[in-house]
Amino acid sequence: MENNKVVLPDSLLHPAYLEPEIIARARRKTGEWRFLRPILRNRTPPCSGACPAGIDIRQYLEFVRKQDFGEAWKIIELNNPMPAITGRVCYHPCEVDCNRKGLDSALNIHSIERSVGDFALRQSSRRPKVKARKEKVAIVGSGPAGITCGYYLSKLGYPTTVFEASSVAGGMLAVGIPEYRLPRKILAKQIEFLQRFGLEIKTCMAVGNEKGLDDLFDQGYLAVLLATGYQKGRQLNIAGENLPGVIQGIEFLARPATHAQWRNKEVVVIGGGNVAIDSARCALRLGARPLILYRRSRKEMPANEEEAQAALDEGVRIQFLASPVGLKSRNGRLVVQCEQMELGQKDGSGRKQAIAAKGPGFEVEADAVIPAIGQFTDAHLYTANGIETDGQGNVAVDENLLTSRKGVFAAGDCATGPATVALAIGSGRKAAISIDVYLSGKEYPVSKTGEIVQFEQMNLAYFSRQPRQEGKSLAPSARATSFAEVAEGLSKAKVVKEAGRCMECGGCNKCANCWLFCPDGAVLQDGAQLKVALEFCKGCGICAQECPRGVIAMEEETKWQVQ
Amino acid sequence: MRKLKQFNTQIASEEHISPGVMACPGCGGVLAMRLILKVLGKDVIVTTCPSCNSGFAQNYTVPSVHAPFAAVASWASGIRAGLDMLGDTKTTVLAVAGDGGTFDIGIQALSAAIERNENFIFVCYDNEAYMTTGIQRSSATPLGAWTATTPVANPKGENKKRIMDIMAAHRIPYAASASIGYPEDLIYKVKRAMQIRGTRFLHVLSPCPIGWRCSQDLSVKLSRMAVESKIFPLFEIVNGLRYKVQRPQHEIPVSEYLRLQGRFSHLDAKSIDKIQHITDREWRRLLAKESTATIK
Ligand SMILES: Cc1cc2nc3c(=O)[nH]c(=O)nc-3n(C[C@H](O)[C@H](O)[C@H](O)COP(=O)(O)OP(=O)(O)OC[C@H]3O[C@@H](n4cnc5c(N)ncnc54)[C@H](O)[C@@H]3O)c2cc1C
Ligand SMILES: Cc1ncc(C[n+]2csc(CCOP(=O)(O)OP(=O)(O)O)c2C)c(N)n1
Ligand code: SF4
Ligand code: SF4
Ligand code: SF4
Ligand SMILES: [Mg+2]
Repeated sequence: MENNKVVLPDSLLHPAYLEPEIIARARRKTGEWRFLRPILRNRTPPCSGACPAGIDIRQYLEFVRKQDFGEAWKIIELNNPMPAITGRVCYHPCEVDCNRKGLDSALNIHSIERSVGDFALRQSSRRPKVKARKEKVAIVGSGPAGITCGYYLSKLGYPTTVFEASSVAGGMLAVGIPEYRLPRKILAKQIEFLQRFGLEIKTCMAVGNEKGLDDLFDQGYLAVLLATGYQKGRQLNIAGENLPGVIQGIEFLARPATHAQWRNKEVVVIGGGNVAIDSARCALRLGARPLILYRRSRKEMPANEEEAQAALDEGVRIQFLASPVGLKSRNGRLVVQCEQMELGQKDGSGRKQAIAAKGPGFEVEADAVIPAIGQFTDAHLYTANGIETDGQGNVAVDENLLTSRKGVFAAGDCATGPATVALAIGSGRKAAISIDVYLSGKEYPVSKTGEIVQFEQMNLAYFSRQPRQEGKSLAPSARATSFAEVAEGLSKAKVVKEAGRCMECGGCNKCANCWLFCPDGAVLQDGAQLKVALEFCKGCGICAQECPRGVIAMEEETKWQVQ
Repeated sequence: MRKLKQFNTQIASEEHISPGVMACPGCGGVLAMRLILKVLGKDVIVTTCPSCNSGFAQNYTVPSVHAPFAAVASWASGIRAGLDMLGDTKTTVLAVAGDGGTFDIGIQALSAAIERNENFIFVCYDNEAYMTTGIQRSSATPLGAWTATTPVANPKGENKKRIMDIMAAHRIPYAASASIGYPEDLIYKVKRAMQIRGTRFLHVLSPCPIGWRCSQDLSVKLSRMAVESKIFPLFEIVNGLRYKVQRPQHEIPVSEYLRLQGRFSHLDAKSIDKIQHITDREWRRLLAKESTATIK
């Protein structure tokens, strides 16, 4: 037939029962029926919620999936200028909270972060131009808190100088965290990279105790950041602690290579935290036979689980429920006198307390003993300079990191107590914001605290199991003789694949499920955005239920509320 | 992973139901029709009969005619004949009926039309009761369900009528079950049906929050769970003989599906076991049919 076009009679288009007023009624605004209103709103994924530096993980992973590492770096850099470091040493609380673990296993976020960080370090570190400002800032301490703050301030144009007491820059990154977890080559490149906006780091420049801060102000610095960390090992407070052959974990870790004489020797490490584990693993690499003595059991060990497991894999022995009560020397060796412990009630930290068991104690012979039971700080620098502490030895700060003295700020471990690199970075960045506000007189930026998307809010029907990509690591046998980096990281292909496992919790990725499943066709594709036609949405909540990522919330319509 | 993101962009954005449709919030039936009409496009004439769909049809932007309850398949036959006389082969004729209009009242007209192999697509959107008139039982109501006419003291004691077996017995060119929980599959089946001549039958489970006594946001989820629990398997039958059954990616016991619906809330463990038993048995029977003759 011509054109195949049928002209239908009007009666077919408008059957008799479809009276105009019925049509008018059918076309009514069904949105008036609604009790609940869908709100499309991006929410915070738990990974970012847990990240002490607050990295927008979901967003940078999107760029990693597109293999655009440059853009991924830009997102990370907004919160953390040293992902090559944190990708290696952060204990990754993001992965602990990652929603994906409810489906199969958490995303390997730290390996992806490391890979983006290494990418950034490979790029040329030419000096971008910034508008110079004249207010000078001094930073005391070149640990992650100090150099992060310095990086952001120099990027804002402030002439910034870091004063570092030690001969090397980096704080615990240089003198704490062992080489096999953080190669010094990477650290050196990272520090050089952080200086590209002109940040100056002066090593072997301790800010003296008395009048140290007055001197800085006299030299024309208008703001000072204290980022001095926690530098000393806590004493055991038992007899024999100062015998030769006893060395604090923190001191040993600063220069492990100077203990080559420990080869084939028995080294006893006291403690159950990360410093204890690091000390034992370093001693092992020197050829010693390390034994960790810990008061409680494996479950209560404060050390990171993966690190503790790695130590055991390498052959570090751990004796639990052993509490040293005295040290003495005998025939040129050390003897650690121990009490046998047992577990009692839970303490304030939720861990079971160790209490002395009845019966005899025991002795352990050793050639060297490393106490590693925590850190301690000398608050003199603060008090002598008129800065209040919180009673635990930390510098007292308000929520914007201001101390009791005008123009003086504090960040990192010295303000929070011994914590982590990522927290020091987050804290250093925050200090940079506060110092900028202080020096420029602008307003504090409004902090965005988003609601966190829980696992239960995800719709698992739209995700299937995929194995986590794991990087290779140095064989435990090879680790006994070398300080080479243990974790090898992921290949680029694996990094991209792993980023593909991200479920994009709380982030609308325009999958258009809401549009597809709305029975009322009330979700509209408005350009690149999706929006709800509230005139017609009946508030059924199917869009919220079928959103894979928990982006849509149903909120009560206030018009029905009884006043 | 189900690649819905890429898939969604392939679905026509054009809507054939104007907004403000007279369907209850969360209606599975209107969602089924929305998706089916998107695939069929503009060249379609719909005929429907008393059901909730009579209400939706007021908003169809494609032509739609309302037949008496028992006669929708006859009307579809007649419309097809009229179009054929006009030489129009392009326009698809779509008959739409609820489960009442298919399993019960409309079955003789449907059976007769399939026997003549009338050239149209028949969609039964199955909400498992006479919903328009207030949730009375139909022969599609599942075993154990509460309805207004099968009260809790005396819930439905019979199994759901096996409509697909009836279709197969007619040696119908194409029959398929489909679900709004699996839109990509539903759309594929509509497209496939469009390519076949003769009578084609689509059985689409369409949760009804009012009649199923469930939360309004569950229609899609329950559709998915009906497939995962094998209470409503997805399969195709070609020429009444050759079967293709889809295995759910993720399996659940029927109790998980039943639990979310108030119409089953009175069931005790024994009754649920019985439903599980029947479901498993029917699933085995379906697979057996497939193993004797599969669709390549
Ligand atoms: C052995 C060890 C291993 C660790 N491993 C990890 C790990 O794997 N992952 C993790 O996240 N965290 C780890 N931590 C914790 C982490 O290193 C710290 O939380 C972090 O380094 C704190 O950063 P900061 O900048 O506040 O202080 P620090 O890193 O301690 O830096 C402070 C700096 O200030 C300098 N300084 C102090 N006083 C003065 C002064 N008066 N004048 C000039 N300079 C001064 C110090 O020399 C030092 O360089 C580890 C800690 C230790 C001790
Ligand atoms: C011959 C005839 N009998 C009864 C009715 C009343 N009636 C209108 S709709 C309906 C129920 C339809 O049930 P179903 O086909 O399952 O569709 P649903 O309403 O569930 O969508 C009934 C009984 C009618 N319109 N015509
Ligand atoms: S799946 Fe992705 S967005 Fe969700 S918590 Fe894990 S890393 Fe973050
Ligand atoms: S699915 Fe549609 S009608 Fe239901 S709440 Fe969402 S936008 Fe509104
Ligand atoms: S369903 Fe998809 S498109 Fe809709 S809000 Fe959720 S993520 Fe965005
Ligand atoms: Mg019905």
